[in-house]
Amino acid sequence: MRDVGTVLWKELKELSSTDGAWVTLTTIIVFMLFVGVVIPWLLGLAWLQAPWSVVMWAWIPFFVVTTVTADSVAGERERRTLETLLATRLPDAAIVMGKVMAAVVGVWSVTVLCLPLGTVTINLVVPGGPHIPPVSQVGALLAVVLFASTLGAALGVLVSMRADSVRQAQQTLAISAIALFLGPIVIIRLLPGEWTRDLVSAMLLGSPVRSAVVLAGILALGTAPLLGLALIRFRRRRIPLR
Amino acid sequence: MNADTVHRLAAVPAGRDGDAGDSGASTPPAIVARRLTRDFPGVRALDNLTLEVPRGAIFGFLGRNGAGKTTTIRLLLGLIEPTGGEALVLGHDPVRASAAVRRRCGVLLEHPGLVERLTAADNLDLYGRIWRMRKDMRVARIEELLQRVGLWERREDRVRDWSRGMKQKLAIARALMHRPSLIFLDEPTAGLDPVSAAELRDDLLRLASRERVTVFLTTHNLAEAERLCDLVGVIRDGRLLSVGSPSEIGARFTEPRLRIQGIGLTENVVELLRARQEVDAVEIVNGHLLVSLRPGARVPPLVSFLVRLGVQVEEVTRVGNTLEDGVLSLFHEGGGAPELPLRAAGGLDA
Repeated sequence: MRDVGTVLWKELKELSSTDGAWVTLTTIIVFMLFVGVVIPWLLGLAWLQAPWSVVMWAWIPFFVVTTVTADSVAGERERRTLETLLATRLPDAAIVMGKVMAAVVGVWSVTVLCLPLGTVTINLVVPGGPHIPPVSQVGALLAVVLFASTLGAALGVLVSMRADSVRQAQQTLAISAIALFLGPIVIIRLLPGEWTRDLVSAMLLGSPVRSAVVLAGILALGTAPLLGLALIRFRRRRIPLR
Repeated sequence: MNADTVHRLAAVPAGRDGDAGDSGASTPPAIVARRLTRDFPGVRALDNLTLEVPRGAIFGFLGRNGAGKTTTIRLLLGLIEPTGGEALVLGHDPVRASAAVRRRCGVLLEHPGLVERLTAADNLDLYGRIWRMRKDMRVARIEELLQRVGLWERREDRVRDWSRGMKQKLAIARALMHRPSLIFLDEPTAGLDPVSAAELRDDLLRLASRERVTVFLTTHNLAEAERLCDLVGVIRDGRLLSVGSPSEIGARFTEPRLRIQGIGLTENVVELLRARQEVDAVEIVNGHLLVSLRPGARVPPLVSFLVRLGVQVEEVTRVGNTLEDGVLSLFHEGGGAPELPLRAAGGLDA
């Protein structure tokens, strides 16, 4: 764990370095304004109560975290710091987990901050309040964000370790993000009509808490093998060096 | 030269030893490679490298770009696997116990590998954390190393804005942060201006001596190798051509040469000298006569011959036997490319 902490320290220190800090801060502010103010303002109460809105809580952190982790290995290779890092005593697993955790901690924290911000926005724009999500819904959403972030980070490390450049890694991950969330829609369309109707009905009329729990479970099932695969695949001797 | 020959290097300079308490005739070498081979698709990057580097030595690995120097370092650090052969680094197998190897080694690879967004102190602090040094030890070591390389006043500067020479100095300090027994330096002065390169060489010599560390250094700068290294190995197209001290390499492969100053050194004299049995080659360089002798040739009869030709001989000097001469001779001897370019500074690359 100490080695994971060291990699985490390095990644966060880089993000908060004097010149990196402004970029990071600006990105966080824009992200929070979009997710915590603009979207709730546009969606109104649906932001809190529609079962389909949980998909947004998965897709946004997943997409953001993949762009962060695209840089994790490919970026280090481009900046010529990867080989020096690999030539240290750090275990492979500590490097992977440190990079995954740095991305997850950052994106999860910021996304979670959007929850109270969005709730305040809803209460300001929608009359008849107060509109407060139940604790169970908040808990399920926190889990959705956590698993979506971890899934994205694991995928990011996997793609980034083989990519020739950060740009290539970002392109591959953007396509993966789109495929991952468009894929289920295509699958639903291919199901028998009755099943499709039931699913759509559940997405539109069901409980937001149940939707969040189901989604968190699905994401957890996807996250565990993907993270395991990243840990298995990340081997110094397999990482292409320049 | 047969690549399978074991190059045993016993001549470790007095007063320098890799591990305190490890000194003595029975001290195992810092690096042992036996028939170490590495193939990449379509190319053999390293071909049956067999080599021993004693503890405490500054070992220079000489060769052009693409000769196999960096591949060797990566193999010895366990960053890539060999196609064949085996190695021991500080007694550990880089394939089966690569973590144990890396634990005791410091590196400066082809690029400084510094985290450019961080300050100099943070860069060293990061590697102190990686090596699990206590905070008080890290703080003290950072000050000690930065003082030694003259960067203490710049410790809070971000590295991104630094010159390459300063980055290289910091990278060497980083390599020494955890007091390793062995450091690998891959082209440490490449891309530096002559003044920065000289400064870095001085720092390197001072640090290596003070830290009592074995140094495995790759370079294509022959003057640098001659200045820094106790022992050098010459590699070409993945094959080790020779190993020895710089003076041994120079002497072993170079025929003796004479520089003759005087009056009356004409083209006619040159032609007559060329006809003599003991003379291999003659040319006039900057008004001096440069004569390459065949092995076993004696100088006095040659001087007498010049005097008989009417040349007023002012000075006769033996030249050659430098590392540069030896390495060039090796490259030619081994079917080396005659187009091999030599930089003014004595480099192997254009």
